[in-house]
Formats: sequence, structure tokens, C-alpha cells
Amino acid sequence: MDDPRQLADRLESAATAISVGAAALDGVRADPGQLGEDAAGRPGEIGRVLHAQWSAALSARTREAGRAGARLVEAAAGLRRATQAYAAADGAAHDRLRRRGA
Amino acid sequence: MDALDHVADAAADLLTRVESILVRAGAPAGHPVWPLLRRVRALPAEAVGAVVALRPAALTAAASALAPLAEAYQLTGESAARPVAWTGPAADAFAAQARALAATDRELARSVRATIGYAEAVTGWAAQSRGALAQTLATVLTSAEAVTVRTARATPEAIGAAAAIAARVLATVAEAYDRAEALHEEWAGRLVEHPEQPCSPDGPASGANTTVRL
Repeated sequence: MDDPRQLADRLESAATAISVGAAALDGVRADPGQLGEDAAGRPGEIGRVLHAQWSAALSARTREAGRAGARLVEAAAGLRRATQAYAAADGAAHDRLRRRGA
Repeated sequence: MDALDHVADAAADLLTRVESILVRAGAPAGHPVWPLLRRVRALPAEAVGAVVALRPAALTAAASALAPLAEAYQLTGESAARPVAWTGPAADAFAAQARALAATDRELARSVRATIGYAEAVTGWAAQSRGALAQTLATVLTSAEAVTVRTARATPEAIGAAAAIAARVLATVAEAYDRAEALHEEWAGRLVEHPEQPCSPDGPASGANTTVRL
């Protein structure tokens, strides 16, 4: 079982992995022309529809990845803040007990 | 270059002659080429050009490039769902947040896998369409109608032969684009963007009676 700091590390690593995965999509943007969008008649019309569908799907995946990475970074930061607050509270309690015992 | 590139080059002259005859003399009344011309809304050479232009290499590359993102979401979902040595109200609040993160990332992994599936489906459709058209053109090139179109001028036989060749080519292209339309509809609902999820701005709150292994 992990402690909260280890979980925060894992979440940050996951955010990085998602950012790297999303960055790889930039290299495969939907280049126009590969689905015959410029063709005449129905083939061109459907080519444009498929290209638009593909382009929209890639954009959606990129935006989702941006939000997912941000959510993980926020969660990790919140976890670290909470962990630090508990450590500070523990330290203060330890000091109080030591003073009473002195 | 695949079979279609080779055979389309070889068929270019024949298709130009076919179009020339049909543009000058029309096709026989009631010939099956008429509804096909209305369905494809392009002449045979243009329709062949559209299929020749299908080069979905970027979609193939995308399927490979998307795989690590799907894996990252999957791993994140599994990581966030793992138990943590931490108890108390703040731990409970965080556990709820982690469950939501895990569920969202599993959904996102599914969206990415669907996008990979779409890229593969479009690539497969393009390959199948190119193969089918290559076969049709190869058949047409060696047909008796091709000999008639090449040797006869605008005689009724040549007009009939041109209409028959045009009908075969357009039927293959029309079938290919029927499949493309079905593919578009089939995938439309599976590629939609996952809605934005609200996220706690402060993370887990501190609470009383909390135990954490530091």
C-alpha cells in the first residue's frame, strides 16, 4: 500500500505520460487531401465529412488529454498540501508533548 | 504504388474516351449509368481520381501514435484506484476524488481506443475501395466494350459500350462511398468529446482524527 506522497508522485508521473502521449498527436494532425476531400461530387463530399470527423476526434482527444493532465497535477498538489499540513500538525504536537515532559 | 495506381494509369486513356463519348452523345435512355451518375455526381475519370487520391497513411500513423496515450490513461486509472495508507475524513474525500479520476481516465482510454478503431476502419475502407476499383478497372480494360470504345467512333455500339464501362466503374465507386457513409454514421457517437469534469480546486481538506503514514 502506498503512502500519500508516493501516490502524489504516481499521479504526477501519470500526468507527464499523458502529456507525452498527447504531444505525439501533434505529429499526426489530420492532413488535408488524404481522404480525397478535393474530389468532385459525392466522393469529395464524403471525403470532407470523413476528414472533418477524423480532425474533430483528434482535437477532442488532445483537449481531453490537456484536461486530464491538469486534473492529475491538481490532485497531486492537493495531496502534497494535505500531507505537509499533517506533518506540520504532527511536529507541533510532538513539540508540545516534549515541552510538557521537560 | 499499389495495384490501383498501376491500373488507373493504364485505364486513364480509356476513361477519357468513355467520358468524351458520353459528353458528346449521351447514354442510351434508361441505361443503368444514369442513376449511377446521379448517385456519384461525378464522371468516371473523376470518380476514379477520387479513389486514387485516398492516401490514409497519416491515419495508420495515428493509430500507432495514439496507443501510448490509451495506455497512459489505463495506468492512471489503475494507479488512482489503488488503496493508500491514509485514513480519516480527508482520506475519504481524496478517495472519492481518486475514484472519479480513475473512472474518467478509464472513459478517456475507451475514447482513445475508439479513435484508434476509427483510424483503422477508415484505413481499411480505403484499402478495400482501392482494391475493388483496381479489380473493376482491370476487368474493364480487357473487356469487349473497351475494344469497341477504342476502335469505333460515336456509333450506337460505341455509345452503349461507353455507357457500360461507365456504369461498371461508377457502381464500384458508389458502393465504396455507401460504405464510407455507413462508416461515418457508425462511428459518430463513439468519437465524441468527454465532457469536462469538475475538479476540487483545493484537493483533500484537512480533517480531525486523521492517520497518515509519512
